[in-house]
Amino acid sequence: MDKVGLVLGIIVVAIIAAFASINTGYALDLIFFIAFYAIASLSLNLEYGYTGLSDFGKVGFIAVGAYTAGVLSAAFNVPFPLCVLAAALAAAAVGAFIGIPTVKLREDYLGMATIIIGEMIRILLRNTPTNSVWGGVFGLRGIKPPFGFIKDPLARQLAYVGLSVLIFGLTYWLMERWGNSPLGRVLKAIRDDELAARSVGKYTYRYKLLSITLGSAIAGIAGALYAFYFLYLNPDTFIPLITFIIWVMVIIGGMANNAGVILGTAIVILINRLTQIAKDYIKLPLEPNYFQAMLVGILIILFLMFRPQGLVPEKPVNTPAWRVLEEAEREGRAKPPGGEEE
Amino acid sequence: MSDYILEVINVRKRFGGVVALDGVNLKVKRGSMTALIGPNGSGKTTLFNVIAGVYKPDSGKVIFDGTDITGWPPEKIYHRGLVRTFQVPRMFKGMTVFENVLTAAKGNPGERFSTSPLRRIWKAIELKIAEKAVDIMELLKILHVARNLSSAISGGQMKLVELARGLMSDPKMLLLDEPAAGVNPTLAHEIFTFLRNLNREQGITMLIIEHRLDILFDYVDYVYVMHRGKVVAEGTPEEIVENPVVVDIYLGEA
Repeated sequence: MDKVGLVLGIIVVAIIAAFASINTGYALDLIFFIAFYAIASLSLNLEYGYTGLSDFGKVGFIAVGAYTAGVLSAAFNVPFPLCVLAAALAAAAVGAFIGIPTVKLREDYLGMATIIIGEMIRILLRNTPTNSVWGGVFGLRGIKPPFGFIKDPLARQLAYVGLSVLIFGLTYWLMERWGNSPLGRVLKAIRDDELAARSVGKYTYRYKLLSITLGSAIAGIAGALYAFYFLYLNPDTFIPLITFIIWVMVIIGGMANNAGVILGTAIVILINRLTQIAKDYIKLPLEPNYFQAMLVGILIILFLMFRPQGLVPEKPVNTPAWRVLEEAEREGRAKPPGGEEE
Repeated sequence: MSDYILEVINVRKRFGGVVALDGVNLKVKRGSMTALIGPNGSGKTTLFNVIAGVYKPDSGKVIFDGTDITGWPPEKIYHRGLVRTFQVPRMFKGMTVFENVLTAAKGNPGERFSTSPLRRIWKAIELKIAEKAVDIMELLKILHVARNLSSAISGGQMKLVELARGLMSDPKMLLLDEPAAGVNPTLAHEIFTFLRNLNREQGITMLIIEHRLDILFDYVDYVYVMHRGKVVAEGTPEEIVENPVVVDIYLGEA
């Protein structure tokens, strides 16, 4: 149906399979990163793609989730599932707290407010004493691996990446359910014209607040997965660049299209990895790391200019209502006025 | 129950130094089709925005169906049964016409974050809403563009989509801001005939802003004339046409 998406999806899977046949550990790491970023970009898609909330503080909510899970595991020996749950709740609480005053703002002001808040969380974590429970600038150590009982490191990694992919799958399922329901229509209505949405009786403030709260909760879960993958956290991991990368994933993939956003995520990560590998083989007149950043920048400009809808464009909200329309069309009720001449 | 479904009492609204509404008084009879006319800048749309909750009045009251709705937000007013359309159509432009109309339905349990993942909770109601949407679109002759993006239809069709959205909630009263603006006279007459039938058959009260008096006066029961933020005349269309004040400020100008 969607040829571009299908072809690119097959290419992505083929590249990952090729990596897997060369180095299983590397492929697992790649898959983890795609799952982690995909959860985050799906949460941004809920906020921006569907609801139109320009959340530029995504990394802050990931950090809140990561640190909540990390501290609970490292300092209090809380088991993994409870840590993930707590991470979601903590990030949701911060999301709601920030959302209450900010979702009333216009799109651009909301963007400014959230980018500052995201940075504040990092700076706060960084500028606390190193003997605090999260270690300040030294970072947080001692997070207990959830599959520590598995002795073989590759099997342990496989189990954890598998679990992460499962959580990513559940996130995708939930997003598709939300998106393809009457709720999906309401969110898009708010995105397209908030006053019109209010004029047809939608309590838009409540929806926007819930959207950023739930989006933050999901980002918090992504953060928790990150914490238990690396078992070490440092405040300076959670820089605004992470937020921008997640935005690029959503823009390239296709706003308000969950499958597209996942594809966008995989493509951005693969570009990142492949250029990292390529720089060992290709001589460039400039620093390869900068070249990588430039490449992403060029990509986003090209997309905004030539394919603003993304690789996989938005689809109508799929509910059983369409069957009723199809039936009416079959009955010949959908004739244009003015008669037979079309 | 009062004879009047809508009462606007001494409403004032100013924007900085501009007095947009300077003590407006107006009553709309239940079941009537009432027109609101006046030259550009006389405050008609501002009054609509005050009634529909977009602006809070500086002073005065808006009573709808026995309830003081002054300062209520638009969404709450909608649920009370008062629905408005916009002068320049406001489409949910990323969605199809069909979705635009479906979105306006009241009480769809699938619109909650908690229940929307569970299809069986909302499926039956969604199907009913879809049938209603199809019926309304057929009546308004926009069913053939149901699958089009709402940003990719003509201006006249957008007006009809707005009207279709308004009808989805079975409103007690419609506030229509130039429902026939920018459409050809034949279609304008069609729209007003449709509105008049709706008004008679379903008893929906209407307050209509319209500039094309030649068409409008064939259909409405009662007319209010605004000028410089005040209601300066009222009466039946016949009386208004004869009214020298109106001829002076409005018809004389045209």
